[in-house]
Amino acid sequence: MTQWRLREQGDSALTLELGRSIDDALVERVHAVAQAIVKAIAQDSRLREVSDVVCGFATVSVHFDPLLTDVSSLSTALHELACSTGSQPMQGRTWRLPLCMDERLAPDVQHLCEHAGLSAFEVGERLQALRLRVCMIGFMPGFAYMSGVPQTLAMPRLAVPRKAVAARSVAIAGSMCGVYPFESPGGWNLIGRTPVLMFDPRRPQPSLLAAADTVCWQLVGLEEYGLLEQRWASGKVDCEELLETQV
Amino acid sequence: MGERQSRLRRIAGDAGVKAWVQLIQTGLSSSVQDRGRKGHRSAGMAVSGYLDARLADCANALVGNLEPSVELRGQSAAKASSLACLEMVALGPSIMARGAPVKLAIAGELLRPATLTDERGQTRSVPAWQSFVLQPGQTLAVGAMESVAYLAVQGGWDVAPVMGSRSTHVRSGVGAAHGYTLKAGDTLPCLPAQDLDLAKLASPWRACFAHAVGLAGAAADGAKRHASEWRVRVMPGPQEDHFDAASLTRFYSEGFSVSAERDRMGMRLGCEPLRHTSASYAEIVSEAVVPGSIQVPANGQPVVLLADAQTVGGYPKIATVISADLPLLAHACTGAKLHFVRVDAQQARAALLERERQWQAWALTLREVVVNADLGMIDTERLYSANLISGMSAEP
Repeated sequence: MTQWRLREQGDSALTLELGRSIDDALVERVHAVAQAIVKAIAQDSRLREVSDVVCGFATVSVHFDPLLTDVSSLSTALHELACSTGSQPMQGRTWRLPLCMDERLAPDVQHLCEHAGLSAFEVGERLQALRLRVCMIGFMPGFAYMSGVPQTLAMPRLAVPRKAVAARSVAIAGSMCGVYPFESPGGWNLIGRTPVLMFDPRRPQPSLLAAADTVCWQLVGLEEYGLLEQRWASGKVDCEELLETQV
Repeated sequence: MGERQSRLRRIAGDAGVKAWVQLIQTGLSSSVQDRGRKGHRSAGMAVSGYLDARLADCANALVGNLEPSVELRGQSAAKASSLACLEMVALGPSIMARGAPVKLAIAGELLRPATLTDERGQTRSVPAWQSFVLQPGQTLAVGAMESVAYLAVQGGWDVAPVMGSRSTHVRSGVGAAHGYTLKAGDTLPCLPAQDLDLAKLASPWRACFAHAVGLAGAAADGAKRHASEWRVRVMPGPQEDHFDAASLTRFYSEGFSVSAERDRMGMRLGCEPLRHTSASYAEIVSEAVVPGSIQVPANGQPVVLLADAQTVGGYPKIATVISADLPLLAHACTGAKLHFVRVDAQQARAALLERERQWQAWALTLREVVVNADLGMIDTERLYSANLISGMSAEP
């Protein structure tokens, strides 16, 4: 856990490789290091020209202005941070997001039930009990890769991706869950839809989710889904409403 | 926005004059871009922005969009404009000016000059590399171009910034003036033209620039041919160890042809498939990528990522194009061959500094002949008498 490598990505980014696999402990270490780097940007002049800190599953990448950056002192700073940072990140926010599994919105639900050997009701119960962890955001603006889908529900991605997946489709591939923020091609299994705008450029924080957040699903029926969708389209929803309140 | 630009806006505002252009025909793909939307990669948002920032800077300079000089290590240094340009690919749009006259310029290699049609239907040619005024009701048809070209307007295209930038991320529609690439009927707000005559600036800038992007045989009469072989400098990896030795040797010795599969997200290269060290090395655990990353998926065909590329990727990257050479990718047409040259971090930096030095020499020379920088007035006498070639290196 205290091993790492620093690699160049051309002359405009450095990647701290903290591992080469996908596992929970490594993801936590990635988040801890990323948070330490973000904090250091404001305090350490060697990181002054860093524009972005991006988590991968096992890496943290730092993007910078190649003209203005002293790469060797930036590298030294990153090594120091990797060394001094532990493996426990600050926890992000916990969200409770509505999910509708009606087959008309989710073409792969039937397939999921068959794969799991469970009824739709049972699958719904399992999904509601999950606490998914946001590993990283990528692929599209606001697309969160969330780990924590149990073996029973884990399905391989489609052999042939769909050319068009509806916006806000909730999908599973292996042990990962994700939400397509916009209509796009997609190879994951579509098991539901959410009315929540996962990415809205008008918000101060355009992406709803961030690395280290936790997501829980709240099942809703088709009618309630429709009403929620209208509320979201009208812009009358505050994202704060979706935060899980402390009990 | 620089002080000069905000003063221009106040002038326009005081007069109560609004100007805009209307898209009559879109051309192949036209989008509003600027230097990019930085700081949001962790939200999955690509930087987008110009495929060739320096070319766009030329277009902006030609219409007098110059930021005030800054002091850099005790020397006066030109600052590239943050105003947005219209990026045009392959075939440019037709636009009509409305409201008030607008000052425009095109930077890039047009296959033939653009056509300006006045209210009576009379036409005249407008070549690239010089500024001109489009009166309300007049139309400019840009036509075909070698690769990418930029249309700048004095004062910049005034579309509302989204997440701090006017760049368009075509795939998601973020930042687009009216959605995705521009469509017929769309309007682009801008400023009325200020009195600024840059008509004679054409040749020196173009000759310098043509060399900088490796264009072959750029002649004064406009006859030119885009290079069909391009030297592209790359730094190895970060997943060089995922490829077998024979493939690495081939990567740095063969030419890779640019296929027709290309857009602002990336360009696919055609070749005999490159081979990974083993089948399991054809994928990596997803990590961040950059524009310039050369990914090689299982099929062995490299894909070079560009401005709109996804922020993360799960394919091994054999090499990464250096920042200084990214603009070359915008100009390599379908069928052109890319020859990759391996360099290290020091060489990449030297290349970037050299490009910067060329830009500085060129932009500062322009600034010398622009008096009353606040209003962009030009001293034409000084312009003609100045030795515009001095200070500009023709070295690539």
